[in-house]
Amino acid sequence: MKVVLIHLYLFFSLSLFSQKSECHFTVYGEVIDSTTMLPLELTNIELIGGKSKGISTNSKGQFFLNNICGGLVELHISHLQCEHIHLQFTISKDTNITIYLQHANHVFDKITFAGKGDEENSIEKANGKKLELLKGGSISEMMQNIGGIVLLKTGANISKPIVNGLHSNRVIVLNNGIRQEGQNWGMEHAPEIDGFLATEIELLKGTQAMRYAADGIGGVLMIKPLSVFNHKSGVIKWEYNLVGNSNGRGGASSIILGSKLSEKIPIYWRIQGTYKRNGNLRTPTYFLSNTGMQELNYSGALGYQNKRLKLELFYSSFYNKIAIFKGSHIGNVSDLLNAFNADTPAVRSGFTYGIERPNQQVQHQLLKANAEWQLNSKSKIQIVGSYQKNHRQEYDVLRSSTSYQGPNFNYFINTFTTDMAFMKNQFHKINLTAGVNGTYQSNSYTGRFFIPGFYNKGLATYILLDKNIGRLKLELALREDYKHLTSYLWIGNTLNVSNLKFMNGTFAFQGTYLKNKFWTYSVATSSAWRPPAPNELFSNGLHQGLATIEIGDPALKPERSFNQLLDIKYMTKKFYLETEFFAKKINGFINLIPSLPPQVTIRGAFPVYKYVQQDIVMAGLNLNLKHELKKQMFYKLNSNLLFTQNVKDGQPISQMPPLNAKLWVGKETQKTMFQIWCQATAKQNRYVFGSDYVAPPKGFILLGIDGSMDFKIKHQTFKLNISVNNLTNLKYREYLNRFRYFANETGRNITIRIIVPLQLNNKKQ
Amino acid sequence: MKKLKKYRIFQVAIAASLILSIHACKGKSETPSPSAAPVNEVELITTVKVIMTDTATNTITTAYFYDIDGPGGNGPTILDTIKLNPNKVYQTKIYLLDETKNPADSISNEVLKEGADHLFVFTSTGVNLSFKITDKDKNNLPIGLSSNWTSGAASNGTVIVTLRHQPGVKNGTATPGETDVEVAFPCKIQ
Repeated sequence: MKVVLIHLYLFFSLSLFSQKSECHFTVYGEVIDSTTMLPLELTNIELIGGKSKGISTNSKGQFFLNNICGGLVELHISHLQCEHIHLQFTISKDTNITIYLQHANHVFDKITFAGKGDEENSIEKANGKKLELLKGGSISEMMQNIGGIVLLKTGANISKPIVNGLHSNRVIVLNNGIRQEGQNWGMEHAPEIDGFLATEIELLKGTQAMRYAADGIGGVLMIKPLSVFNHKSGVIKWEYNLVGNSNGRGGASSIILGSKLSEKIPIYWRIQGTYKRNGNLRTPTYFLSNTGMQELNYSGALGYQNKRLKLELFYSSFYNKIAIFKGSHIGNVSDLLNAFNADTPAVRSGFTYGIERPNQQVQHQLLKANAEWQLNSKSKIQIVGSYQKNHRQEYDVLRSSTSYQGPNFNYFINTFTTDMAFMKNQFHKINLTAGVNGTYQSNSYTGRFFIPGFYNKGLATYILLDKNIGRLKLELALREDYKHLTSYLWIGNTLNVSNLKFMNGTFAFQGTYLKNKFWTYSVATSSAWRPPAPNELFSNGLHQGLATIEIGDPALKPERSFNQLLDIKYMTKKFYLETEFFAKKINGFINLIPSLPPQVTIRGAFPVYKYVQQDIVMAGLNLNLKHELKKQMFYKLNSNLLFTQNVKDGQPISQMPPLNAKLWVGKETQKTMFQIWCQATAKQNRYVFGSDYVAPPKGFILLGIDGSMDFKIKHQTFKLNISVNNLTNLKYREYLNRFRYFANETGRNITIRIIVPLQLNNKKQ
Repeated sequence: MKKLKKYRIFQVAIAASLILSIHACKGKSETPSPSAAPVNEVELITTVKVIMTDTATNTITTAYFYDIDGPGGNGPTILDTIKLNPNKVYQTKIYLLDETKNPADSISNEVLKEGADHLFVFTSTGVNLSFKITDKDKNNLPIGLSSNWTSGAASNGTVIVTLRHQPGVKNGTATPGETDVEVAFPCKIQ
């Protein structure tokens, strides 16, 4: 019999005794059999480098390790004659760990592990309180505290992440392990994911990203829901979220519940649903006409787990209808310039929940099946299949009441993916993951042309290796992709079929060195490539919202990036500093640049933008800092700096995020938290002069506050939190909001969130 | 024990409804084929036709703007120069057509029908030409499908014909609303 660690969850409680001297921390917790959910006694836990011989868990599976020094801690965990497991993590407080062991099973799973400092402050993650304080916002808004991420907005309701200056086709979003496939190319097409499902969002860089995609030149964003296998039998676990916001006079309501069928039947289930509604939003001085939204999402998960087999079925449906600000509806360039020069938009409005034209509606469905088969204690096979159906409709303003009432832009994209991976631990002391994955996608449309119909087929194979040599961890990933794009472009009555094939390899290498309990260094070098997307190849049309004509180039070649990353972490009991330096060179970067002369149309002359390829360089710095002061006070700082330029002529790349920094100062105890923040965004001075109708708007400083508290009413816990954004009701415009031509950003918004975790424990009744 | 049973039934019901909802997501798909010829039911304005009748001689002059694939794609294939005689009054009619439809759809009829939402604006640069709109909507505001153009001395320049869509905001000036048509015809008075 072998006992192997399957899952490890850390629940770090904030200590009330954090004023202790350095070697007085306690690491305590329990060891639980993840199959039976019963405590595991007699598990031996030894502190490496410690004086004592180690301790065993008691009959309740509990253990206590006292007088632990802050910083890097290494534990050796063993149970009877099983494999020995080493865990390394960093502590800066009294730390509570729950270790799930899959006892009596020949099962293992990869251990993802991080200390508290890492979990909470890490540059590449958003979770816990960070996410809780953003609940009710869109999935993109929930990503914004991850280092290097800012939002590309189209008005206040549509946003998508920009990762270190790159977005859309260059950023891959993984929803529950499946690559999100909508009309991702569009700047006004936001990811169709319910934010209430996310328990953690992680920006994958380097080797881990290679398992999912070669073309995540900007990055791979992983949105992780709670595992269905977390549920216990005999208990239905509920969580109810209620969010209300003042600006828009709306909010969201979301419920999630799940359980395990019974002790004997290892079937797990979970259902979830969210409804969101907002009316017209308000800037500090006026309402924005037609800016309401509605969203209705639901999902369900079913799981089955026995000694060797783990099966999971997941379905989610996402639907939203977003009104598009009326003042942004323009006929031509002079309309746009008039709108820009007007102090307040010509279209006036009061408050309403109604959604009129223009608007967009998106329906996204995902069905995922996942099977894991444990071959032996070291090897596992995982097979994942998915189907996604995305239907996007955009409705323009009608020219007359007799005009066609249907959608002006009506796109259907269906995607099948499959992935088969083999994982082996300790294969010649190397952990190995190898697999193949396939994609089949079809895209079709009616209404206005923007990109042609196409079939997209992809086949990829990858291998990921990692090895620990003392304090050094080395990771290597290799991936080869084949892609085949067949597109059907109609010009008048002529059909042009084009077949494009791309095949390319890529790699990532990463080394992490834990120098001592304070310092961790990580270097990574990687490459990614991306074939030109259908919009870059074939678009030829008027971009309504931007009053530009965009022209694709069927001769575009794939772009390839070479990335260097250096990440330095310094951690003490009360201080966390992570600095990430990166440099990228992208060969053949596909960029939309202005091209003369303007094109004459029935609505006047429009500037023409063409897709061209240039070699560019990007360099930047992302910084996260947290310092805990006396009396549970703290301050935090996040900052992103990015520099881009074209290799050939040294010109900057337009539409890149300007320097920004966010500072929080607050106080946090076990049950309450209060913080005030200030976010400064500089003016973007680096852009190609003349490439835009108007110069980038000036810099601004926003203020906000967050407060949260947990309380109990008759054994029932409630979590209450309040956020105020744009506290001073500042009038400002943002460079990365495409509606900066037409209107100010929204004014002050007060959001109140109530989270009610419920447990229906039937056995006691 | 009874409660425990109820609880089980509840769980099974939820699991079953989950499976059903997964099945329900299939079906009713009107997804077109990627290779199908595109269907666009939204009307386009492909053609602007300006017909000018010399009120003295009844001579008719016609100028066309023709862009069959709409904004983007190929540029307009016809953009005529308006040629007028000096010191004349021309009774002018504007026709807007969608020639992607068969028979061609007259958009100008829609404009007339909803005259209270539309306004034609004529401007000239470099050319001695003045305009007076002669038709009125139900609110007694000008529409511009019919107008009188008065030419002055010989000159060269441009005439810009603009159609403003002003649903609910029309006040007789060009400012409100958005632009549906804006064609700059080269113009010669000789």
